[in-house]
Amino acid sequence: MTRGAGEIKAYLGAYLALMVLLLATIVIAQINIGLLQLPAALAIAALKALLILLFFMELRYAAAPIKISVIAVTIWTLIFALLSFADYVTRPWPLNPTIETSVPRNLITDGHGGD
Amino acid sequence: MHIPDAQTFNALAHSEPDSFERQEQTLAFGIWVFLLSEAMLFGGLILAYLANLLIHPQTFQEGSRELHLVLGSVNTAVLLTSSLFVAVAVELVRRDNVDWARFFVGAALLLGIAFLVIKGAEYYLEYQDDLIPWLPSSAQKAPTLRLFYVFYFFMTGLHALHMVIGIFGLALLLLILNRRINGLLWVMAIALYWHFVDVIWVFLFPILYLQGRA
Repeated sequence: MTRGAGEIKAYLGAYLALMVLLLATIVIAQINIGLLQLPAALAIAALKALLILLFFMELRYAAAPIKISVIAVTIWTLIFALLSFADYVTRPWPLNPTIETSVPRNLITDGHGGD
Repeated sequence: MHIPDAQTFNALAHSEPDSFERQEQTLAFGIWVFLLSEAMLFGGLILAYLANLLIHPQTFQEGSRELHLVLGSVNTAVLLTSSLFVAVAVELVRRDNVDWARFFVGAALLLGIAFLVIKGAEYYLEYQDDLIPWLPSSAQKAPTLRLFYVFYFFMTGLHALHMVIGIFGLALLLLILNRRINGLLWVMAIALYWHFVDVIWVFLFPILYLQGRA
């Protein structure tokens, strides 16, 4: 892709989209969608970050090594997240009361200050 | 995606060391690697915060509700607008329109200061509400609630520190543009940093301010 004359128009478009997404995330946070609350907020944040990266930071014009580095860091962080949460969400306390455990729950929660 | 063919790549590698294109490529790559290492720093913090949000959902949501949503939202808009101004300024420098570029850099700088002023006002309100976890006045709050505020103050504080550095960067940029030095490389480097600080805030805002609002 090469830089065109319409750059400033593209910036304005990205900015409008960012503002709409900001409004959307605030509105969605007030609606009770249960467990989807956090994933929805993070998805909108990721979309906003993508807009800033591609347009304002001109990642779409960047050389291949830069694009590869950005993708690598994203995947690496996601691997960290996946492994961390695979642990946390499968623990029996208080996150997930459905998991069977032979240890009394008050012992498991102790020291974690769970809610 | 545009991948330069071997010929272009070799031409670039063997071009004059001080050719503009080569400088632009190496500077851009260096800045990106630096920013990505910063992303790993904030990424680790965000991950630790999210794990604690899962472990203590009620208390962390309670903590989030105590934050000032209006001020936080206005600050997000302020930061996004400043990013737009910086992006426009880079484009104007490319078109040799230094006067207008200076105007937009100055406007972005003022918005950056506005962000810090609003953030400071928020901190003051939180101080009045006894929410600062390392002050004795917060002692009667639940330990997990104080943990939320440790995360909140550390993450927003580290972000604010980056904002201060970015504001100095924009001030330096104004100086460069004022002296009419051909500073496109400087402009690009500082602009990338400014946008990056914006990206961090885009993640901090929803996870800190928008929990438990439904």
